[in-house]
Amino acid sequence: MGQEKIRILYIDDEINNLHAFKANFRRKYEIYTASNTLEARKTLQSIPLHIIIADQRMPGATGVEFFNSIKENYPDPVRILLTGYTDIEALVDAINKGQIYRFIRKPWDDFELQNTISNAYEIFNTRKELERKMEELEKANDELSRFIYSASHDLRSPLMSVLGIINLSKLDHSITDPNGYVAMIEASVLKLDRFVQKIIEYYKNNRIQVEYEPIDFNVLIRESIAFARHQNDTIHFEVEVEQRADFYGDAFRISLILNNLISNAVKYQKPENEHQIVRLKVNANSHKAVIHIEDNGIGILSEHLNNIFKMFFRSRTNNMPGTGIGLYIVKEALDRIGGDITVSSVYEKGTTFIITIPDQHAER
Amino acid sequence: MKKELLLSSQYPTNMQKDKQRPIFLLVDDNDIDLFFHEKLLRIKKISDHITPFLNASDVLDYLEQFQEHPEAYTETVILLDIQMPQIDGFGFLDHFERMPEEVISRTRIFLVSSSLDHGDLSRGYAHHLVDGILKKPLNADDLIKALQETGA
Repeated sequence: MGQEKIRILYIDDEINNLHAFKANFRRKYEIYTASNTLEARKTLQSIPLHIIIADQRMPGATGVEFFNSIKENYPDPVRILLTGYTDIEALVDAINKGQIYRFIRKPWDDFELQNTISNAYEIFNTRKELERKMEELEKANDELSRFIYSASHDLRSPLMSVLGIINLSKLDHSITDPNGYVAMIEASVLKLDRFVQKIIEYYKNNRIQVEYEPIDFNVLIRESIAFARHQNDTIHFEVEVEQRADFYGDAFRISLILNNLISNAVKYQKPENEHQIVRLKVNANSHKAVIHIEDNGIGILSEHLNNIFKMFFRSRTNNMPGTGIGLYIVKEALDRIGGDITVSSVYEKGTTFIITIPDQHAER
Repeated sequence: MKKELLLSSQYPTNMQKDKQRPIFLLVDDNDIDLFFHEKLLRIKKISDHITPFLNASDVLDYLEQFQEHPEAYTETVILLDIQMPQIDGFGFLDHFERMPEEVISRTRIFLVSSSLDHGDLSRGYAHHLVDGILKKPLNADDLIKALQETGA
């Protein structure tokens, strides 16, 4: 790439200037010349140029006008304008609009022009490099997501086979298992499956586009409770939903957030407590929704509160089957929809999460 | 493939005396799931007429005989995996759609999948040939309920 000659197109209606430019620089650069914009376009179509130099004052179209007209179809070549002192107005405007990279006064100084050309070429290469890096990054990102997606699915399907066979052994009583080993296998498989499901949730939050639709908090809360009840059906839920106006939000992510928080509130309870309570309070108006999720469970040590939204963080004080990813997903999902979360907790008394989600009426 | 075709040829005689109970065709590329589903149907006495297929093209081969003789086709339930190599669940449905009306109207199809992919699931619910979606691991009660709800 270092040995590549810089390809320059120079457009000027004064043939003498074209000759002079060619005579001075032909050893250094690969030079194409055109005495009018029509000719220039033909060159543009066939030659991948690095730099275009155009005279401002030409019959038919000015240099700036010409640059403007080719910008869309040929964005890559760096554009340099040649001009006399009198065209300052047009020049300032063109530079500010990003139509040209630099201007050179006429008559040009060879050294200055050469410098400008080297700088322009550097810009050209830097831009190209950046484009390449962007493409690589997008590709890597895309591949990573697809990998997470298919790995999670491929991990999950054999897990379901294991659970199926375990169920079968229970049905036909074909395994004698006085020590409860099968139950331990089942518990481990279920734990691994929860983890895989969290990874899939994470993937979905990253990949699925944010979409706003009318939200009925009564429905979402009811669904989340039904989802969490599977884990523990002795919990008492106190629900209070006050929705005064239509609310627009991302139903998928709000569900994701509620499911994770409510399922945590259900999971991190004190087993000996006979009055396990989860309180849910929603207050939604046409600007925002504020949701309280309060439990009287095991609570979180104050020194851990800062870390609970970090990926794979797990509080050491409990031996609950957490994956360390749920709250991280909650935070990520809230970031995506412009929401916020605060937490307060008293160790061994309970935890309250408060989330705030902006209404997206205007975004519709 | 040949073995399954042989097995399936027994059905018409079986079905004569047991008209109300459907034939079950199980389609899954995972042989353990296939084994599990068949066992579950037998233990729970949901059906004795079960044929497992390890891929979609084998079922299509089996169904081919009814193109000419749709009158020989008896009530059938297909438990269909979604993610399979070559022809997947949806690919199978595309082929099945071209079967004679007598065959289609006497068939109930349930997708059985471990997928949590929203796209897969909503495509399944939206498909006019799909009578329901069952999650893996297959639960006998869910299946019985689904059969009752869709049963004639």
